[in-house]
Amino acid sequence: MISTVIWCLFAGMTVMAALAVATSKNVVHCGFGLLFSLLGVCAMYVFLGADFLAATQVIVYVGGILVLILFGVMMTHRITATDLKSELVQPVAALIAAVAILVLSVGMILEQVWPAKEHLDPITPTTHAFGVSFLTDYLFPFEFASVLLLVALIGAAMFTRDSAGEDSDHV
Amino acid sequence: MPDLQSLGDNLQVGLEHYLTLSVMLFSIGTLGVIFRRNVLVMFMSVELMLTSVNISLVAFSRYLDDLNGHVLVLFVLAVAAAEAGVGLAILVEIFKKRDTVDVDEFRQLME
Repeated sequence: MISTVIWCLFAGMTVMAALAVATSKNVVHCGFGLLFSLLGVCAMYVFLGADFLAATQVIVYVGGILVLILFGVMMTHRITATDLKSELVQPVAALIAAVAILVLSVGMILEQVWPAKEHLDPITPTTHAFGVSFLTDYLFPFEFASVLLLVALIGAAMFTRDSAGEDSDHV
Repeated sequence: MPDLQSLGDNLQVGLEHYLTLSVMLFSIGTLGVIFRRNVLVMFMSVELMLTSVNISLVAFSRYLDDLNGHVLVLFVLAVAAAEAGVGLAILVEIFKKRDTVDVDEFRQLME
């Protein structure tokens, strides 16, 4: 019973924080909404027994992507500027799209018969199976993902290099 | 004081609850992408959509007792990290040139 209440609290936190991301006028508030939403998703991973993914979620999303986004906010947000458009546009189209996705998908979910809860295995650590599948079945995607991350890293560094390479010989 | 395993067993939450949560997050992300003209907020909404799909992948993985969903989530995480890095780098460069983060102003390719 108490774990169900805790689950509902985390789910509510996730959804409320996500709503704050989508509607808050202040970009920094949006960032903090994203923080709490991602932490709620991390709690969902814990409930689902995905221990490794919960840790990765905190490290990659909260520790990496969110910090990067907040840096983006700071680099592009001018204190004096009022032209930072944060107002909502196309509210009707946005609401129609979002509500249509929500209603259709929830209708489908409620209609479908899903695997029952009684057949669940006890929660076990997943790290060993992770390691095995990364070095056997998923070896090529694993290496490809590392190359992708390297390419993204070098590309991002090249983009923001401030064209130092062109006049570095003058210095 | 019950241990963690029995706490998990008492959970009155099924696969459909996780899927509903996932769909709610996805539609809120859609709302954010269409609603807002600020690139950073659109960016955050895209991250929300990616994460919402991860929830349903992990939930299916748990309820079908198949670890492949977890592996897929890890690849989604890697792609999201790469996307955030490159996207924000491009955004900062555009901001240096155009002095705005409003997507309606980003029209260089059209002109």
